[in-house]
Amino acid sequence: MLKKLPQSQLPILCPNEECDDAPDRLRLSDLSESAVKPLKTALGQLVIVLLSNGRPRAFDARCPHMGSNLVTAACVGGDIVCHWHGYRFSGESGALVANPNEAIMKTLRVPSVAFDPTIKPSYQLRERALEVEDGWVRVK
Amino acid sequence: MQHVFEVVYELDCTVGEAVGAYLDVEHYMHLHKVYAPRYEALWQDGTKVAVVQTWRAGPVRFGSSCTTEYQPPACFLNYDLKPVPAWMPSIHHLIKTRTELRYYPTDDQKRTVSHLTVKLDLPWIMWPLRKMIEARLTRLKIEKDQEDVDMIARSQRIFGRGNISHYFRKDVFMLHKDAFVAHFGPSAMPKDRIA
Ligand code: FES
Ligand SMILES: [Fe+2]
Repeated sequence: MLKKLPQSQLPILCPNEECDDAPDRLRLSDLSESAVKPLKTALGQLVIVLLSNGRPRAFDARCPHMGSNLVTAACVGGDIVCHWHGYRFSGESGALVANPNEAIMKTLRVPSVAFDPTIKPSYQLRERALEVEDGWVRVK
Repeated sequence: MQHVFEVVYELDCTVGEAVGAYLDVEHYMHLHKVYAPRYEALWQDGTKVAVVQTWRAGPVRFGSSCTTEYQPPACFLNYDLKPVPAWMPSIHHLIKTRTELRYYPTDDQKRTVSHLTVKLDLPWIMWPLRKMIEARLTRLKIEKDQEDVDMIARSQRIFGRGNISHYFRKDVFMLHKDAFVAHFGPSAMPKDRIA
């Protein structure tokens, strides 16, 4: 949002407030295989995904690549897809499974002093242990 | 006939953060997917990159191609805008567009000025529409920048204001990375890094 602030000559493009009004508990029946669900816990904000075998998994909501909030990530075929750069993380293990930009940017990804395309990054979502009790999903 | 206008505002970040976000090309198709669902680089020649951005409508992909140019440390040009496919009726057949975006620190060195200059070469028949085109391009620019500003604000909360070290990891790809690191990296002159 463009705002005029008293201390500046020009308008300033202000960031939107980050929404953190996640519930602090979830029913197993609230979860879906096609979307991540945010959960507020003492450990911070988490995202919960439901695997195709019906088991839920919990991960810290911070993307290990550059820190986006995974609350806005998509769930595709059991993977969590970060909305900043499209990296795909396994909903089972939290490991990086694909960077779609490697193919998209093939023409540009040439080695240079500061960039080495042969390095395979090992970004990993931080998993949190979950328990399901009386149909409720809780962090242990 | 030429219509020139400017879109100027401040961003609450350092010049390094603004330039880093601009060159962080991997986010274009994902964070900005509403504006650029598909981004392809055709060729790179030094600091110039020719790109095609397209949308799908049924069996046809349509969009535009252009040449982008980075003039380090913080200036970006866009020109040679053409419709894709070339036969498609498009405003780009009639209007020649050239943009120059410059980032520089505010006088108090605390924030960054985003200064966009747009030059439109229009045929006389489109001259009455110039203000409408200006309003639309301005709105698009602000909407897209808002997504970047939200991304930068979150990075600041996580890594600290002005901390762009996540871009310097060797596995991280960005456009013109060597030039970016030379100007904003750990061994750059401090004057290049302040904002
Ligand atoms: S921040 Fe998540 S993929 Fe880049
Ligand atoms: Fe962007």
